[in-house]
Amino acid sequence: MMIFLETVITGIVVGSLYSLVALGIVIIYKSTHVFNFAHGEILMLGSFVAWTSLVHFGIPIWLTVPIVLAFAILLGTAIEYLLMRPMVGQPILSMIIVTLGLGAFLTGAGNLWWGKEDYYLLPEIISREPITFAAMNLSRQHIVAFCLSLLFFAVFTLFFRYTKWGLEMQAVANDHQAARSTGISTKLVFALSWIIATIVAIAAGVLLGSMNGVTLDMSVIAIKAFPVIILGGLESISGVLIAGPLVGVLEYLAGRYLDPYVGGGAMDVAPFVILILILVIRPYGLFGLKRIERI
Amino acid sequence: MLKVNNIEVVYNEVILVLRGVFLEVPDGKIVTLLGANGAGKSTLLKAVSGMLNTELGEVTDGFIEFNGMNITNCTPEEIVRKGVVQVLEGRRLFDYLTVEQNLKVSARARKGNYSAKKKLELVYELFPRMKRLRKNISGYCSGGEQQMVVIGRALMGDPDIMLLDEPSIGLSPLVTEEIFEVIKSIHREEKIDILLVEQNATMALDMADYGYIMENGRIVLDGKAATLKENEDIKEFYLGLSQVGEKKSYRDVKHYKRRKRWLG
Amino acid sequence: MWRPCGVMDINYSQDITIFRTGLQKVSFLLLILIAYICPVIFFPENLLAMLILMVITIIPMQGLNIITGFCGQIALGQSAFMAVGGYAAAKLAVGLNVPFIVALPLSGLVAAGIGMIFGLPSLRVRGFYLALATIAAQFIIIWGIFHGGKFTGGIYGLQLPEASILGFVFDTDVRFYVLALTVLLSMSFLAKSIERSKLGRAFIAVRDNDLAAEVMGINVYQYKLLAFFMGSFYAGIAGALWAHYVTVVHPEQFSLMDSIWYLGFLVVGGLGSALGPIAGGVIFVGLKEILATITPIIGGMIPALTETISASLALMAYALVIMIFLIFEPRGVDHRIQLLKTYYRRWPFAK
Repeated sequence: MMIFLETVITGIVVGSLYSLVALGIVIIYKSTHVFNFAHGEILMLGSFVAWTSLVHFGIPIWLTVPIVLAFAILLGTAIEYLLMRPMVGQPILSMIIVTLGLGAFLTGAGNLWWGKEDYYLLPEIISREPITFAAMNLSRQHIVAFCLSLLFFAVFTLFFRYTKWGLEMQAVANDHQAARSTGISTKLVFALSWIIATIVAIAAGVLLGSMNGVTLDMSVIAIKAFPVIILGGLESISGVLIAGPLVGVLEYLAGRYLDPYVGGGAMDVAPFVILILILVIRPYGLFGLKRIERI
Repeated sequence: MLKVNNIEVVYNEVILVLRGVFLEVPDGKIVTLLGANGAGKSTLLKAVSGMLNTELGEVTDGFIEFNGMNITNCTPEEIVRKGVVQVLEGRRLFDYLTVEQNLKVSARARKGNYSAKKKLELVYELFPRMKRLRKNISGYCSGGEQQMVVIGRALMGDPDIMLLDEPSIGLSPLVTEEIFEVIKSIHREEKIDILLVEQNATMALDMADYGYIMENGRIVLDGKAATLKENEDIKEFYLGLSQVGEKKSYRDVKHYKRRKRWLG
Repeated sequence: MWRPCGVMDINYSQDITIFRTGLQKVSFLLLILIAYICPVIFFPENLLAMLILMVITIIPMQGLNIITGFCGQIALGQSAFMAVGGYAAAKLAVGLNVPFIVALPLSGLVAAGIGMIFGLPSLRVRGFYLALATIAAQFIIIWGIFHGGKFTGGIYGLQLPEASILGFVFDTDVRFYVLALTVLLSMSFLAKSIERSKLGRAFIAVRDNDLAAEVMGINVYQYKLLAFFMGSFYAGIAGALWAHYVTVVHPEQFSLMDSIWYLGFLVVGGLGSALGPIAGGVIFVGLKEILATITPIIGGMIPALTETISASLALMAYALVIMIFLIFEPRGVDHRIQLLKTYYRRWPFAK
């Protein structure tokens, strides 16, 4: 029983990191209807920038934060301006390939500068000493991730529901033309959502990097976040918040109880099996919007 | 005062849709634009509101002026800020937002004393039914309600002139009448000029001060609404009031001749 | 294919013929002859190896063209289906001693079956959801191979012999090239036949509007699954060929990145046309070859990047080519070629 409980709690806290990663993808999808396959790579690149600033150049943390923010704004705007704007109106397939291509490009760029070492250690922003809670060891980073995802969830739910910008982002996603006809500047909205998502990605990346070091293949976490997004429903922030820990728990349970039968590694594949099952059973997730179709 | 001067519109750099179109909406008037499907009415409205450039269309000749400002080929965002709002054809709501969010997202301050809250109350006053529906997801509203939301949304932009593209499309006569009443009261009380594109020519001409008839991308006839209503051609082609009992064959010839003159 | 002015299709059988005029037939035969003979006689070994790689790249892209180009379903697991084909070939050749000529289509069928299973989500979802489902398929299949124990050889992979037909062993690059080209030609013929038959038209209907296709009486589910079946069949054949060429299969030969490149370069070549996969495959492998020669030179010039440049430059170059094409010529090389052809046919009468 104790093992079970520990597995569940570990799953929840690890899963909240998935939520955090998934959140960035959902934000972009909510406002531009583009599924960003390059999110993991943006996360990776941002973390490397943070590492370079903090460790390589020894810049203090209070100065690193604005540097990373500036990088996020630059990268987000560049992606929107150079890649997404010319693609407006293209079929979904093109959108998929262009973000996949962007991901590959960013991986290449990251590898060019930071490919020499296997991993780069971030300084201990948050102590790596685990907290012992009821005889269970929990890493502080995971707890911070958990709190951060809760905070982001609250912020973005309020943002999308009550602020003008949030509403505009949804309106643009809903009907691009109608939004323009009411005077919403779509360019601004697109750029804004890419910038916000980039910031969220980098926040998650730095957190992840402070646990396991910044590596080139940390972008894989975005792929692990895909089932979370599908389970939560592409457009739903609250869905992602719940689905993250859910997928985390399932993943850890699979790792704990199925490994003996499949010869190890069940954890790596569980999220994808979950993904396919959800798609076949409940395609639009727990909280996804069902298409409103009027004929 | 909206002035469309001799414009030519080309889609996709090859398809000529409008040529030599001239149209005026004087201050304090309702003007209607009639014509068959494909005559270019919607294109003309889109040219005015700047929506053309979302569809690869372009004004290649002539100019459009609003209150002395040249708005030819501006982006829709800029044009809305200058006081021209278009209500797109077919009730294009933000389906997943609630009615109130639909209205709020379209609030745009043009003058110093603008208050989104006051505007919202005003819209609710004009459409009492919307106040009841304000927490509903707008995609699930009925057609008439959706049309009201769309008009209300345009009002939130605090326009000087509203371009309405077939507000009665797919609505029952009763609801259509309701919509038209609202448009009239918007015009009267909010001092907003109206440029109305309609298929329901009778109602449109009843309401308007002035009318334009479009055929094949050109204005073929214009005049005071009352005069237009008396015009034989209009009666026959738009109001469906042709004389009954005349010999069919003879009438067809006449019809053809008249039609030809129009198209020429 | 090029056709002189004034040759019109006036009945169905003319409409579906591949070669309408004698000249077309002759020029095509000549082209095939050149493709067979030229490399065999004139080309050095390393160039031949590139041609073989091209052929083995074009085949899965043709399959992808059926799934994505014709049927409009997105598949990002093509290289995993290739892996299935490769492993099936290995199992058939070593464990069961099935002769190559039987084992090749059989391993295609195995891949096709697996592909159809992972095509199941396409019945319920499309677009981004389907892309995610097929990415999941990629991971699940490769994971399965990694954890397959003795059956798949795990991380060590499997060995298999060189291909042989009736005692004739395809052990040199020249011989294998002839084999691969023959397979490619028959697969191209199959693809062309799908395109010009009822099947192809049904696929296109499903692609353009699956709701409307269903209302027209097309069994959408059946055709979607069929598209996945056929597309994976191509992947399986290519995987089996590849396995016999390098005589070892290993899970790391078949990565998600490859799946992405196949789809990306298919778009570069042109979706939904017979020429698309061929052009895409040639560009992809050609680019690979060019990069392989120039990266050491660039790496030598910038010492700071020597270690990392080979992996980086390839990724960035492929991605750039794909992104540039998507932005400036989303209909691919094929569209350009069509424009050129029309231009020459009408010259000097029209612009």
